[in-house]
Formats: sequence, structure tokens, C-alpha cells
Amino acid sequence: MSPEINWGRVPDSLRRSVIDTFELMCFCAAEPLVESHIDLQPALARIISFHGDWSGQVCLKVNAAAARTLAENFYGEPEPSLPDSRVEELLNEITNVVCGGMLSRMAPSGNFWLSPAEPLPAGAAPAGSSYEQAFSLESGEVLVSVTDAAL
Amino acid sequence: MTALLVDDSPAMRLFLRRVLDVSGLNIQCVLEAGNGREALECLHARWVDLVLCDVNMPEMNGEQFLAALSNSDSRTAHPCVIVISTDSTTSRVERVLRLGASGFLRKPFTPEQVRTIVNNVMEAGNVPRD
Repeated sequence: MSPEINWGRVPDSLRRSVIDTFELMCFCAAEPLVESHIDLQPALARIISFHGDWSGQVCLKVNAAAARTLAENFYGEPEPSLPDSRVEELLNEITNVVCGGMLSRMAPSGNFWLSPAEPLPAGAAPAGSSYEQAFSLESGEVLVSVTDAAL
Repeated sequence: MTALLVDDSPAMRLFLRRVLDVSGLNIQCVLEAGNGREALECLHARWVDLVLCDVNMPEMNGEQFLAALSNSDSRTAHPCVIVISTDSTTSRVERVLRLGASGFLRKPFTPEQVRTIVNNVMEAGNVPRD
């Protein structure tokens, strides 16, 4: 990790990025939870890698039902008519925006590039998660974790 | 006004259409491209007033698109380009502005933010908005 990047800034940067992303893209409030061990089953999960001044991964997990409600808000279409592929596309985009927003807040003068978001297989977890934060949504819960590649 | 949305995510292009719909901007025609190369092909073929362009895309990314556009001849439309990205680091913003972007907008954004930046860059470029 570059010396100008302070790991201690992760929690606040991540929280602000998640809250902004859900509010402005899915028109719903994301409230940080104290408890991070939440039951998300069945869950949909996405992981994105970032590289540059700091390298690591951001993983986003959300209840399947909550993901469909988010998609309904995002696309402005009734949920039953949305195919799974469009819900998955939205999760890719949310993960990308959350990750980019966190990094830009942590290191406004940093240099980063992001890989495309990918599905995280059920039951898998990014190795060495260093920080995670759960959020409550109107329709369920979401868990976001950040992994430092150097750890 | 004709706008071209350049993003490899169909979801994001659809969302941008929705945002433009409610932004109050007078946009009669919205075109779409999935990467910089498709955007250049579109600009060769027809007049476009405004481009809203992502950065991270396959085949030709947003920075490569800006560089190619600035080197293209007069047969290609040269619209105002607003770069839209999750990466709002100063290095990224400075780089895209140096490559010829007229403005930068961070994802996520509000319809009001879109309206403001579009009006600002179109006024600066003296391009009529109707």
C-alpha cells in the first residue's frame, strides 16, 4: 500500500461510497449495521479487483430478493419482468461504483484501475478480508468487504 | 440535441437514458455505443452534439476514444465529450481533460448534476441546445 493511502480511511470511505451509490442509483437508503454477521442466504455476490497505488478487492453480497428490488428501482421496471441477467448486470455496476467511489475518497490524488466485476461463487470468500461492513436496505441486507492484496 | 451514450454496461446506458429523461434537458435523440470504437463509428456516420462516455471499456476505452477523436479528420463529428467514471481521482480527471474532454462527472450522479454539467459544457462550446 502506498504510504499516502491510510488503511484507517477505509471504513468511512467505504460507508460513504455505499450510501451514495444505493441512494443515487437505486433510490434506497443503506443504513450501516453494527453487526456484520448477517444471514444473506440465498445471496448474490460480486467481486472486483483494483490495482495501482493500492491493490486489493472489494466484494459485495446481497440477498437475492433484495437484489431484485434494487434492480426494479434502478431500471424503473416491475420486478417480475426482469430477467436474472439484468439483476446480475446491475450488481456488477453497483460493485464497480462502490469500489471506485471508495478509492477516490481514500486517495483523491491516487492512481488506480479496476478490473471488471465478476460473480463470486456461492460459499467462496475473498482471502484475507480485512474490513467488512453490513448495511440494511428496505428490502434486505448487503455486506461489503475490502481486502488488501498485501495482507 | 443528439446525445451519444458510450458505456459497455447496457444497464448503465439504460440508467443514463432514464436520468436524461428526467433531467429537463432538451434531447431529441439518444444513441448508444458499447465502447470507444463503436462511438467513433457512430460519429463518422452522423451528427452528435454531446457524448457521455465511460472510461473502463473493452476494445477501446474512454481515454483511447478521446485521443482518437482529437486525431480524427473533419469528416467526423467533434461533439462535446463529458467523461463519466467512478474514478474521480485528480490524476484521472486531469488526464481526460488534457485528452480533450469538456467535462467530468463522477458516478453515481443525480439528474441535476447531469443537467448542470451538460448546460455548462454546451454553453462553453457555444452549441445550441435545441
